[in-house]
Amino acid sequence: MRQLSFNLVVLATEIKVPSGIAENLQVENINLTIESVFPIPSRRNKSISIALISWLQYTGMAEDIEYPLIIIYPRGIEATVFQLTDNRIIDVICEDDLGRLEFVFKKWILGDIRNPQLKKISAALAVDENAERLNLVIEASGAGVWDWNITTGEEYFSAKWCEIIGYNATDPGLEHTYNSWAERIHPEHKEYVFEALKKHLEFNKPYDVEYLHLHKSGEYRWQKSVGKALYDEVGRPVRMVGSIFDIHERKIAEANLKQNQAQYKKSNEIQQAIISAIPDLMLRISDNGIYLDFHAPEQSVLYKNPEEFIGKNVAEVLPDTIAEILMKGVKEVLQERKLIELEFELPHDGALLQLEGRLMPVNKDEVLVIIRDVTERKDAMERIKKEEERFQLMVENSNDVFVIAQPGKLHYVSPNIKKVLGYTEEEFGQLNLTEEVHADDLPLRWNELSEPGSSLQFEYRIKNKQNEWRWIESFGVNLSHLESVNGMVFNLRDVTEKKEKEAQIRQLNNALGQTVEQRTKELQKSEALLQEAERIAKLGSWESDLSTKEVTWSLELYDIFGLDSTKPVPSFAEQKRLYEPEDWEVLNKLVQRAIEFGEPYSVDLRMIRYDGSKGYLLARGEAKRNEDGVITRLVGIAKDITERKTAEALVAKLTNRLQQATKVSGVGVWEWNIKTNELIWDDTMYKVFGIAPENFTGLYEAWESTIYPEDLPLVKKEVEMSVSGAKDFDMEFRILWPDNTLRYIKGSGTVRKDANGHPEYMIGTNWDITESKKADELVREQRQTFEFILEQSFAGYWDWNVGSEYIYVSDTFKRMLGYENDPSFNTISSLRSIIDPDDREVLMGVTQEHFASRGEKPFYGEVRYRHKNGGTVWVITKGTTIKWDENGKPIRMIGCQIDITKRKMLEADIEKNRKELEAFSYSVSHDLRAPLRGIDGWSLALLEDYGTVLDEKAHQYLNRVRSETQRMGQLIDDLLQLSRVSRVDLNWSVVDFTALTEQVYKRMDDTIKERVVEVSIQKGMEVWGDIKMLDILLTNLLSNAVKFTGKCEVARIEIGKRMQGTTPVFYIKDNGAGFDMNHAKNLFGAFQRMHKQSEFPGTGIGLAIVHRIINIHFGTIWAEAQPGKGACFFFTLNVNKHS
Amino acid sequence: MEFKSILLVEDNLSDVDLAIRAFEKTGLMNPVFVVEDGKEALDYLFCTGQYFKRDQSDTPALILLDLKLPMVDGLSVLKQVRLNRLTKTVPVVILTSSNEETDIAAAYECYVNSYLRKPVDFTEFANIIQQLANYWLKLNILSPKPQ
Repeated sequence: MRQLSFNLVVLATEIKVPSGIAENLQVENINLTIESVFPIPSRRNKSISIALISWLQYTGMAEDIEYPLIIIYPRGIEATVFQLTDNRIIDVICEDDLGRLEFVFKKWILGDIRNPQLKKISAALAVDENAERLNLVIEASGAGVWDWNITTGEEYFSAKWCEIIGYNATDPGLEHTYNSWAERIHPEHKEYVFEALKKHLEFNKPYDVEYLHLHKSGEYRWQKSVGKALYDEVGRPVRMVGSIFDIHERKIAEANLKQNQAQYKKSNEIQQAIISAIPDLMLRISDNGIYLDFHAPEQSVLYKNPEEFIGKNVAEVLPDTIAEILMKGVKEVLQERKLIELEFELPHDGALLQLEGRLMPVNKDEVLVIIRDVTERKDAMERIKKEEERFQLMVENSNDVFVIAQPGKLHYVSPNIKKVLGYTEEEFGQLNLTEEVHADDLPLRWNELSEPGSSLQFEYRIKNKQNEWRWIESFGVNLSHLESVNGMVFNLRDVTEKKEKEAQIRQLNNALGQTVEQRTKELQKSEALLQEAERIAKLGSWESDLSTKEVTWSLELYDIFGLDSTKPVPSFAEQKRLYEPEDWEVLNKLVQRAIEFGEPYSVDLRMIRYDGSKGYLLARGEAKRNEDGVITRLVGIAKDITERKTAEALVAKLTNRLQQATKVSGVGVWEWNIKTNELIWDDTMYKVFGIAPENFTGLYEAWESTIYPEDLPLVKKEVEMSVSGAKDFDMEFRILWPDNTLRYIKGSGTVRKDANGHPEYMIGTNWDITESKKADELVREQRQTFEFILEQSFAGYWDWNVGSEYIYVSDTFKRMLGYENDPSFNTISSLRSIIDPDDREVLMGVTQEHFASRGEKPFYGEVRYRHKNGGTVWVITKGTTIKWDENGKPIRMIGCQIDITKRKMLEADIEKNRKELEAFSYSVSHDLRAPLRGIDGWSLALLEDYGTVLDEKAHQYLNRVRSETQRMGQLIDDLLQLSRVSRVDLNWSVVDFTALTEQVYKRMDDTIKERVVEVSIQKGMEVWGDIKMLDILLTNLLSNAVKFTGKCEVARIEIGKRMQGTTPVFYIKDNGAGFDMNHAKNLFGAFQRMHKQSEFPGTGIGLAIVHRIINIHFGTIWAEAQPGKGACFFFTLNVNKHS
Repeated sequence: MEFKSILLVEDNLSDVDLAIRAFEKTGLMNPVFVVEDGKEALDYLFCTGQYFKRDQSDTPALILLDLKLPMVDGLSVLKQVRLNRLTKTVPVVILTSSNEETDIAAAYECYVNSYLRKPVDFTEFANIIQQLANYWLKLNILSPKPQ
């Protein structure tokens, strides 16, 4: 028996916790008690978390409560996440949901058994015995249980769950993971399910979804899934458990029901519609003329009570004449057994009804008669005939095309089609519109005109006969209910240019919105056809009989002027106020000319509508003559073109704006009328061409004459091509300004065609691109120069897209290696195969370092190639990566290589010579000195052993022998030093020149200790050089200074540095014997001496050594001296490096 | 008292005589044994060839070694001396005409004890011999005999 205790925290004293709740919640093996109930007084509607926190803080009991807490909160409060406040809180229950307590307890107990610390509920429920039992209960209800570990993505599916989707729980084909479930969801349902899941996890919205889920059989089955997430102490969802149900059958049944209902409803509606829609009278007559049956719509004028007919004879009901016709027909039908049509008139209510009858045999001796009242149609036909002429005129005068058609059948197309699309009426009739109309505009929206009486405006693009796209604006009306039309009437208007203007406007300013017209006027009578046609075209028409002075206006004409159509047509004089005075004058004259000379007219006029608003009108008129050729009538049309004019005005305004813009940007705009050869330039063009407007002839040739002669043929060709329509004008060319400066121009242009497809004019732009061209040229020039330099310097050039097998190698490169005639010598492997293997390794290492350091370490190497003829070619190869990707990977490398074989050979020679010289020097130092020591040694031995027997002179001679051998020894030593300074490797470093000088001088102390020498050494001198060499340098120079001041009473030696410009110059100055500059040409040559050996002994090699040290330190040395007045030696270091 | 010998390795006989002459002036009693090439020097030291009867343990008190020698050069002799258990502690002084840095460095690399340059001036040369003999044979304490 386990003892478990709870604390219940009740957030509002009003809430009553059911007594004995713990007893009701007994779970096997666990004794459950509710330890305490903490009712917290709180005002309703106050946030619970605040109440709870204040409770935890202020009751002082918070720390004492060691049991898990269950919070019960009052209704009407939106629960927030409590677990955040205290991890002892295991759940939060609304007071309305106290039934959930049991579930919460059980859940907690199961969690508590596994994890007494109540940190996390993490292990799977299924492994727990109690949970298993719970599962069984749930599954008995037909639900499949799932348990998703959100952290790991693993998901436990119960046996029932698996069964629902057709699997055995242990089936290896079913992965127990979230993904395995998610992937099975029908693609169209995924988004919805995941959204619900997300909402649940993030906002705790209920998760209850129905979706199609993939069954093992491969079909999708409906499933319902509900679930709930469990959160960790910081509010993260860690786990979610739930169940699924198979609701497939239910869903299918629901769907079927829905469909059936819909179908039923539909079929019922159809029947009703059919019945009520038949406008005709239906009779059934027997062969002897007895009415058997009678149906008539109630609203029909022919309606009679069926009883008046049935059982009676035809003749009893109908007038004799009609009965006769009818009976004749009946007989004919029964004999011929075919449908026949009859027409007859029936007096009715004082009018004569036009009737049309259709008779057809039914059964053996019965006839079905359908009678239709066609009175209105007949009348209309008459009127249409009368209107024919006006209609024709209107149609011909209009720019629009009228089409009457049914789907699949073209009844009529007005001849204007030729003007608009270039086709004849016959050709148009044979077109397959779906092939001619632009794919984006299909299907044509006339499908929407299925309802009689409905109208629609739509646009589409269609190819004309020249195969150009034209925009057509079409207004269509379904007049299929009018028998005279029996189809749809369309007005087609070519709006391509309007469209272009619109596009232009849209593009520039978005100013011109689309005007959308909606016309939904029911057409009742057939004369409406004309009216509608006029309305569609915004066309009014009129007719004036010159003899009777009778004038007729169409309704649309009234509309255009905003006049009341029920009033009589205004007289000619009255019409004056409908126009601007000037325009009225114009119209007046034109009308007079039409009357007098039969001249037709067409003019745009400014009109003033009845309401005072102003607009534009296109007025056309034409005189009609009678058979005798006398002008009797004037007919005409008027069209409201206000919108077009407004649009044009706007375009003009925008064009002006465009001009302003181009002026600023330096783009010149031109327009060339191809027919008249007239060329119009805007202001900028003059600037671009450097021509004053007054010097411009305004002809095409004026432009052509500016073009740089060399470019003229190309320009001409381009112009020809664009005029012929092959392409738009688009090129760069050069022009010469009047002052002969050469400018680069970029030109573009496009050709406009007239209605017949002939090029009419061309518009375009020209702008000056000289500056950018110059920059381009400069770049190109530099490139050429660069290539030239490379070529001249015998350098081979290479260019490699890193990683690719192909590498570009220049001709010089190939020639260097003997592959100038081998086109296949352009691969990495072909290069690799001829590089010396050792050098290849080194080069690869260098390449890797170069890449790894992102180019910091140079790609450089001296490598050996095997020449095609077998010899060795030494090259310096050097390269750099000029392009890297964003990850620092090299993309492109270029470089060059120079043949240094000769240099290498020379170096080898020099090395060999150096070795020989070294061996020579070595033997000189050894073998030349040994005998000298012998001579000296034995001379001394002679003096020591036989000194007593030698006279004074012999002593002198022997001493002379000794001093000469020692001088020779010195000479050899100096020569050795001279040779050594040229061949040692230097160790460069910063040398404290002052300290070094002091040190060298100190070494000489011995030789001068009996003399007075004042030495001044400047402080703080530093140089860059080899300290040993500088030591030798200073030793030689200082010992010279000391030597040549030997005869001075006070010797002064000064060592210092002074600046000559920016170059430091060092000097050693003494006040010694000096020398004659005239004999100082070879002062620094070996064995050059300026003094007698007896005065100042020396080998004459010292300054040669000095000179050589200065040389290897990239410096210069010179001297200034005068005999008896001392000498000064100047030198620089590290200045001649670049020479 | 028995004096340990001085081994002089020198191919120039004039130098040998001058050296002995200078040596005699020091008044030291050590016998000077002269060999004229490197091979003979090694034979003497390791008791091979013509010196096979010699007692190898009778190592010289000092070896004066020229670098430029017939057959085997001085540097090679020095290396062999330093490699041998009996001779490796014997003081070796290079006495040569060369003052090439490479020679000096190489000699010290081979653990030479001293490097001296023979001057042309015999007075100086005698002075050097005198000083080195004084130092190595009088002042300097030799390593005990190897066991």
